[in-house]
Amino acid sequence: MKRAALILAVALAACTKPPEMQQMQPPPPPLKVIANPAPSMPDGHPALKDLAIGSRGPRRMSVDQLERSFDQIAELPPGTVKLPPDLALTLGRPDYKRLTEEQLQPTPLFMKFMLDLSAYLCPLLANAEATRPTDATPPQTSCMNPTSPMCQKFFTRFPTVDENIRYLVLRFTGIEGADADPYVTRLKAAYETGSQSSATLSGYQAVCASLFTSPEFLLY
Amino acid sequence: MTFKLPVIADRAMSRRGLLQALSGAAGGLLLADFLLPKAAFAAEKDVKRKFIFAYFEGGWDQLLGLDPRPANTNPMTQLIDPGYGQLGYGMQTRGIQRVGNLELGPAVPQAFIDVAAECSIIKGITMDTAAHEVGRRYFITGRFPRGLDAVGSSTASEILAQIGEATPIAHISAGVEAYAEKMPAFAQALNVNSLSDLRTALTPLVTLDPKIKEAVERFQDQSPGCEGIRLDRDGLTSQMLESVKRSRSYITSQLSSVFDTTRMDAEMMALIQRYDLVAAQGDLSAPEVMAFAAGQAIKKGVSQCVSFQAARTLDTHADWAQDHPGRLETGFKVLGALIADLKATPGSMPGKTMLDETTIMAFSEFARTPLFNNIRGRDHFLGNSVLVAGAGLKRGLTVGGSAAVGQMPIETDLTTGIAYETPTQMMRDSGQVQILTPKHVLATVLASAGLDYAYLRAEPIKALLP
Repeated sequence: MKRAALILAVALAACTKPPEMQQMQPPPPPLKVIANPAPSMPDGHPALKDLAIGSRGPRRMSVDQLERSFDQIAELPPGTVKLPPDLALTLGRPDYKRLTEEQLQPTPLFMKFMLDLSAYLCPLLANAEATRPTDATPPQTSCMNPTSPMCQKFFTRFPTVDENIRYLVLRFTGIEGADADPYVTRLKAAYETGSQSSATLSGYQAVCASLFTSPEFLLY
Repeated sequence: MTFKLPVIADRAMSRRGLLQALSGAAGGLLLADFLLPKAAFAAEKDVKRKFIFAYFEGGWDQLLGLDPRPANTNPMTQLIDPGYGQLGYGMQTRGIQRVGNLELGPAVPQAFIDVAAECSIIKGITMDTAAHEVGRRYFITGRFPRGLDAVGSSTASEILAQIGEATPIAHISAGVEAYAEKMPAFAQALNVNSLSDLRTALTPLVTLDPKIKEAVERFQDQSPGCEGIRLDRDGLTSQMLESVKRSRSYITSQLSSVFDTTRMDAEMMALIQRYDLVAAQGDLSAPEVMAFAAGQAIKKGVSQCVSFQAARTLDTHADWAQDHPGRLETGFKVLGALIADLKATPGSMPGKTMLDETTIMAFSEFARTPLFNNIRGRDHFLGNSVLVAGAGLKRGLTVGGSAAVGQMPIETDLTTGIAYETPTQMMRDSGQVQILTPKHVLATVLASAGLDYAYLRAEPIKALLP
């Protein structure tokens, strides 16, 4: 009996494939890639291509985004503009004591600060523009040295007012081409009204302040 | 004479249809009592009522304020340790202070005791949370937050949406969160963190050249361009343009002198003394300054609703005796000064004071545990109390209560205000004996001015309503 059991055990061991043999199986065939898989949809379901793509809603720029945007529109190195800490708190930056998340509502106080900020920054930009050498070549990229006269070129790069306004619209909002046409028309009116002032480049200051407080600049 | 059934559109109603409609209406009437509380439409809406919400930030200690216990309470058997023996001498000798039916803890200073008779206390409120954001937002909106996110709008915004716009800045929120979901623009708060912010909002920091200003305002008043319209998907562009107009109106209203503490006239000197502004030591977000701003905004007709931070950093998990009582005392001090100021100011009706036209609610996100933790501090506690004062509410009452052991909220009869540790089943079945929540408190505040509180889905505490 013992002998029979031993023979059976040996026979079973002989019939079992060694592990190396199992690993040497041929690889599975590659998966077929089906072009334009069309999942079957229930009857009456609208075509997938016609469905609107859901996205997050528009938002107001955060304080950090505003600071970097000011760098960008004034052609300053990133990190140059820093809003005072108490002002940043008022504009919605969390202090992680009472406020733990950024407040991004375009409140009247926020808009008031934007108008104040434009009233402060736009004349600075205009004065810098008025004092730059006329033969300076317009920089095409961000300026590495903000004190250089070339970097202060902001309002009057181009021969015509329309072109300059179009450039400012692009700089502030990223809107260009035919999409910018209605804005150029509206801002030209602001330019003409503002030009009645005796302030330096007053027409462009009006354009600058209008863009500073526009939803196209502050929302995204 | 023949009787004709009513005809809807071109289809004559059958007898079966009529019976179905009647049974549906009867079912609706029966269910109405269960589904929605009846709003206080009976009372006339008081559109001139003003509201002040005083927020004690961080979670206050009821034992030091609105729900004190005898100093000899045994912590072992009653699970409540008043800890009055650890307080400084001045506060320790105060003990429990009684004003009529009200009992106030040792952190309440004389400045508040002097006006305490104008107030009522609601005890035994359950917050259902021990998280700061949740408790705070629950009390601000009257709706339990979704996660940490506030649901709905601030009660001040709900009030304003019902009574309309009558003041230049309808709601000032000084150091308190404010929410206005799908609310008209005027019901949205002017959020400020300090008096400096408020002054800034009302004064141009840099003056634009008049012609440039005219050009900018004309541009802002035009409808936005294509991109602006695209960004208005959730109404953000409209909100922004409305905010621009409002910020301009704040400046043209020339209200900044109302909040100018550098004025040297007799009125301002008296206010500086009343609110103890010297104690703020130049900190323009200090409770003294915030209370001053709230009082001025209400008295001078700048705002109809004001939310302000009356006390701060009450979240004392350690060294309770050192930190908490003084901060809480400051909160009650400024609240007392505010109530006294309103009481001393004539109202719009002959013989009435401004306090008779203003409803005040003082709240915190929750209270602190009745027993100490192992670092001599108190942690977050689910029970809470609230103080109300002013127009539309009975004064000098205490409603609700907390358990003799452990201080947990117990059930309150909304009609009588009496609290029961073990109410009978019949009392519970009446629907009038309930555990109080912030919803009941806010419903009471709204009902006090005849406003609709149905959205809160809670009954007001009728014991407090005249």
